[in-house]
Amino acid sequence: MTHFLQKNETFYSLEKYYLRGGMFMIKEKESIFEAALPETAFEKYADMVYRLAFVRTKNRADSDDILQEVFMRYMKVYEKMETEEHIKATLLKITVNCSNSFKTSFWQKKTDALDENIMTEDEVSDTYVLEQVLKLPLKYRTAIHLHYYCGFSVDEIAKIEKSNSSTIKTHLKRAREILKKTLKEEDL
Amino acid sequence: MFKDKYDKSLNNISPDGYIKQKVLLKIKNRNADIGFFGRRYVKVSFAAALCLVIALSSFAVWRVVKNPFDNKINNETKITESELDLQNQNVGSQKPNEEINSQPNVSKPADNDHKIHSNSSDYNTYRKIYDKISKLDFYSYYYDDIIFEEFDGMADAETIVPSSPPTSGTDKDSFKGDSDFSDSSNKPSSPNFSNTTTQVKDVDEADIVKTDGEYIYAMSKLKSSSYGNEDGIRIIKAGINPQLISTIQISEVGTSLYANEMFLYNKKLTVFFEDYNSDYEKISTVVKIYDVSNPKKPKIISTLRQSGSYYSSRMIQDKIYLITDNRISYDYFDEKKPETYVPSIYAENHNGVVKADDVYIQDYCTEARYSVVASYNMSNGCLIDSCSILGGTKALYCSLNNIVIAGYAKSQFSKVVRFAINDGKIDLSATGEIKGGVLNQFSISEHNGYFRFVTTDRILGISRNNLLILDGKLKKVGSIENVAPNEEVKSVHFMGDTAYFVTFRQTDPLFSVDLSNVKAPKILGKLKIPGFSEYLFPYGEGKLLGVGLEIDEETGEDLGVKLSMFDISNPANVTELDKFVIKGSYSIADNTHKAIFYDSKRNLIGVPVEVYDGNTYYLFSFKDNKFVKNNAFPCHTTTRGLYIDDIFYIVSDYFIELIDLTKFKFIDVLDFYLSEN
Repeated sequence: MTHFLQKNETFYSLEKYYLRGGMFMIKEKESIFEAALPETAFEKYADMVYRLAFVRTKNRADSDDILQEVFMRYMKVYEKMETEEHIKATLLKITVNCSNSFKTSFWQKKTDALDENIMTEDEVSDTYVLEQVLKLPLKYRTAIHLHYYCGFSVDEIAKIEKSNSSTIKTHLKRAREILKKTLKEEDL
Repeated sequence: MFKDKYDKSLNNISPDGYIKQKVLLKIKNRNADIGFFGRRYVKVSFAAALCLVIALSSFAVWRVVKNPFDNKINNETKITESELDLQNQNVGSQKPNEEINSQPNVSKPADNDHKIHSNSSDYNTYRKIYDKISKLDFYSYYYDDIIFEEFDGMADAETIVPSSPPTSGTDKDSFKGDSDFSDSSNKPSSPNFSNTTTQVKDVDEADIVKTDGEYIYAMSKLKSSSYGNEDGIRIIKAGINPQLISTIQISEVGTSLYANEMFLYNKKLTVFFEDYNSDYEKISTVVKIYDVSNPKKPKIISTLRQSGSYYSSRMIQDKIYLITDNRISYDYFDEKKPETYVPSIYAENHNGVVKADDVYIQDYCTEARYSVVASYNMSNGCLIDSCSILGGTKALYCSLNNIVIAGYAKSQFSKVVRFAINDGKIDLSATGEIKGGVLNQFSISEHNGYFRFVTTDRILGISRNNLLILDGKLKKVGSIENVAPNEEVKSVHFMGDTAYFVTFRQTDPLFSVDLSNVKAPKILGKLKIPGFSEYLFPYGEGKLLGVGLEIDEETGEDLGVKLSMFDISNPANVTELDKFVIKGSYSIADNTHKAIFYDSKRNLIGVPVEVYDGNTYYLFSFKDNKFVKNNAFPCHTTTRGLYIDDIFYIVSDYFIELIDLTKFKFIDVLDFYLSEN
């Protein structure tokens, strides 16, 4: 199981990062500042934030609002970013939080088809996978999105969602089970 | 590959060009707000200076007016329950960063609690609450792991003090009379059936399966869809020939109710649901009480509702304590409608917002959610008392006399709140802060008037662990701090004057701590073994059962669910008597302490594990200092084990298996869907 290996690696790399010495720490901080600026972060991550918001709310209007709100909030904390991963994780944490405080009926829409306006005819086949993922309950599809699209490990997702890693593992497992059935031919 | 298709299907999901422009513009102009000064400085600088002077002088006046109260409170040492009206106390710096550098062992002073006194029920009485909430800044919780400070290397504060083994009296006394000890073999009268695995004796915890020795009540989905909301409770008559007597459909497809767990007392089932309304802020917890004295015809006798999502619940005799997490949002605040910023409760005798008296707002609050603690009488569905305090709930501990809530760790500290409970009455007794955050309910314990916590805190990515002892007013009296740097607490068990906890990074030191001197707890011993235990349970005299995971020390690879039995007859020298690794398993199914069954008197341990090609329920015994695998049976994701007389029932989502406890052989299976069709 690789997830425990990743967990150790995270600890080790942080340790090396901070214990290597004052000079190194300062250099890292400077280079990170450029990348952490809201402008740069927006160019890089606007799509990522929007997509997570969309997966959670299933609604473009809300995702637009969330995109704005996330970066407004990010502007308050961008100076405290330490690494690229930190920027990514913070933005996603804020997105999860913002999408929580939004008026959406995520449970009711679970079995509805996607909004017709979103996709054109030719795009429909490409979006079949997305459609099935969007049918999952909120927590499952969030975990799937963060794991497969954003590439986070179980522990990292647990930090973003403020859960523990066994809960996330269960979410992923059950989501995969459901997707196995609905996607049929896919090899997860 | 799934990932590729998923990525591809997301390519079309992008924000519109004009939205991006709009946000980018706002970002670029973030400094422009202050810039209006520059644009019209000739006209407004005068007016601005004037305003500033007025603001400063009124602030100064306010500080002066506040001060007389400050001195008064700092000298006050006694806070009786009727005097909970705490005025502004000097909290100290609002930035905990600075606090950390000074005196690491000094506890943080209590923060501002304002009890609002009022008797009338129009919105004016809630005005004070509204004003306080409007001033809070909820966004600062993002500073969680972002602490910048001087860090001068790892402090190794482990002190292993060799001490003589405790006298034979101590261990046995704490074994029997301790409020923490709970073993399904310890039941009040002599019914020959097991109950839910709980933390504290006589304080019941809700679960999806309950029994009264005659019938088994099992909550699960009614159809085979994994995520529908057709929840039901099946009532099964136990025995050699089990029978499905009835099925209650408790929620319907298309409605917004989702069942969680339930209590059983005196032929009444109390079931907790979450109601996901279209408005996220209006998530509420619905409670339905069913009378099951005639199992063929169960009927609803009460329906209650409490604001907030279901956090947890406890039952002491026929009094139910329900704790929910009620989020509030600035977007919905309406000063004239207290229900938009104060929790509401609907019961037989109460309809609407809770009393302003029962709402507590702490000044330094970073989570926009109330922990709502309310008590109900199961027999008549009436609300007895409630207490709501702003701040999230990370863990909840309930003993016969107190409920302790620990909040989320923020800037290395987390808040703790103590409610004194008595037959349904709930009173906020004290609030305090502890270093670090707790893991779960087992990290908290009450003993002889003191509250003990095991926490993990993180600075700059390095985690350290602490054991803290607080008095009745939640002030720190003793502690051991900075234990096992770079490791995290994985499980805790308090047993009277001794505590055991497991930390983990790659190996699993099991620490044993002597708590008999509350001012100076001491680490007695440390046992290093690979992997870690997620749960620790007492198992007969002098033994501790650990259930967790085995990890390969070299590679960090997860080798499977592991059971360990520790000999704790001498806490200074804990040894591992035996361990059993279930190869091929990777997790406990439905990972909660309630999924694990143990009974030291019958010498039986039941663990459902997730395996790649299905789930299995293992039954073990412990003989001659070794684990004996009695047998293993298939099961589903949510499984509970219980026994009635000599039959063991494995209750799973779609069936109940009956196992003969004398030979551990399979007797029969009751398949729900077959029985229903």
